[in-house]
Amino acid sequence: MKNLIAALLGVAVLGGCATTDVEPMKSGGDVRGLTEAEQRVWAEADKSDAAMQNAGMTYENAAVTKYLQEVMDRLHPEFRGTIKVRVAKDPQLNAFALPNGSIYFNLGLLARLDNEAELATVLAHEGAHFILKHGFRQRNNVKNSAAASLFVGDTLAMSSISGYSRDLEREADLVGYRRLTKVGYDTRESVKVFRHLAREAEALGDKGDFFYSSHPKLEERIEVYEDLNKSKKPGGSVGKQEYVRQIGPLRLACLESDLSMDRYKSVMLALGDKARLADYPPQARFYLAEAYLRRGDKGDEQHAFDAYHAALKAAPGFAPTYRALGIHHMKKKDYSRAEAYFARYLQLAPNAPDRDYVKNYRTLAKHGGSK
Amino acid sequence: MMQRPGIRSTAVAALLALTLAGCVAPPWQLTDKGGYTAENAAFKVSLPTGWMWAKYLNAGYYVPRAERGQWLAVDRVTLTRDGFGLEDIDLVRFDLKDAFPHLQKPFAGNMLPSEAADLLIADLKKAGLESLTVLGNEPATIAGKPGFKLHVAYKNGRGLSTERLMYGFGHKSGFYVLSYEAPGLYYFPTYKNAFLGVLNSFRLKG
Repeated sequence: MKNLIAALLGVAVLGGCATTDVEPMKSGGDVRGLTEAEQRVWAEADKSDAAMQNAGMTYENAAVTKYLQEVMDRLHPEFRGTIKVRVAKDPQLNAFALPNGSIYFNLGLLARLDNEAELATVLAHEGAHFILKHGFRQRNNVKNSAAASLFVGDTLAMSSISGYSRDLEREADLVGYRRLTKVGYDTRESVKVFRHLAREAEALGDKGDFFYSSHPKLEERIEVYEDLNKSKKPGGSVGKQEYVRQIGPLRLACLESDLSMDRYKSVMLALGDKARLADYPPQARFYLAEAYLRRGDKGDEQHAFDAYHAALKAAPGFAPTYRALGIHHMKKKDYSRAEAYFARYLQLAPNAPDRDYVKNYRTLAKHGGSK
Repeated sequence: MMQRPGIRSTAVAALLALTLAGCVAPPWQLTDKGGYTAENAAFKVSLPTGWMWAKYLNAGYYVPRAERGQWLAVDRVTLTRDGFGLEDIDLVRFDLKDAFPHLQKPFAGNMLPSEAADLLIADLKKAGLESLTVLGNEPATIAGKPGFKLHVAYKNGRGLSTERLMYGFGHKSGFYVLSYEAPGLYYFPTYKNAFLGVLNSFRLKG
């Protein structure tokens, strides 16, 4: 394994992608330096960017995007202005690079990471895919395959989402790793991120073929980074506080998004670990309760009830907890408690989008469950 | 980035499958000047004039991503005026156990309208409309039953915005979803009243 890594490192860094006739991206990513075929692929990627934006699939948050871009620019400073990090409104654990330098980081993955060193690991890896022109190279490989020639366009997009060939992924690991150490991140965190994601992918049994949700591919990343770390002295920047400060509010949006897509297992996994729960805003306990209700297994109603009360204690000004408890008590025919919770909800959130529902429920509770 | 299959493509596939399987009885018909009263096993409804319509009794509803089976039994009346995809009205009765087919969740007897609406949103997202935006979600009364009114929108990769208005409620005879969908800019506002007319005429039988 170590020999293979050393050989690949030589190919990637010294040999300049000698395994194919594709040259790595020049500093600045000047499109004029690309071959005609590469320019066409670049233009296709530009169209994909436009489609993502048109379909409303990008998460527009200037502060978060700026933070991600700053980390990326520190990792790949010679591509500042060319590599553009964007956040995708997608709860799946994924990130991917397009051949025009657009790096998409899914909300789901962003919410699951623990610190800036983990974030940098993913950004360095995806940035390396762009710099090493893996999109073009994958496409060349596919074009050389007669059987796959009918699906060239789709294959380009899908490989960037679900991962490249094993050799290209390892090449991106190696180049990414060098960037991480150069900037001074603690690369032991890199192993942690993949270990954590591998555990999550296995527990969720996610059937989606997304790179960072793919257990075997994550196991391979762990192996590569562990080998690389053997010769590195411990230490470096982790950046936990800054990461939690920047990403904390977004984590709630992601929990809400997870639940709105019925991904309750993901919510339970994210919040089931007490250490991780402590990094989430206090309102997160409400979403854990909702996840129990969505699962609906034996005992989950009580688990939800307990979690709602934990949410009430941790975040007494968070209105949705009162609505949920009102509904709980109404179903138990405890109408006086139900009415009190609904009243408190309406007091805390008088302009809530669902206020008309809650007003109806309150009236119903007031009249003992009948109109 | 690949475009993911949306509700519309699922619905088109379902209609095609139904038509090919010979489940449509009768196939597409034109409503005449006097309009029609379409009667299914569970409901009846008055249709606007000049629209094409078809009804399905206990027909198969294709759910590609559901794991427990590909086809669900539904009663359904579907209409379009200028062509499928331009303005569609779809009236569906699901069995209570299949109320949220992509989530594989039933409609529970004690479920409140807002809970049903939230599950329907999750069901739509799971069916492929991840970027769906909720424009409105409020209580409504349909055929005298308490339910919900959901107004949602989504865009395709070219930025075309499509809006969908859905009224739903649960009843011992099934979970009903009455919906109207059209591109937002012109078609949606133009034929919305026709849908509201259909909605107001909707009655449960028995």
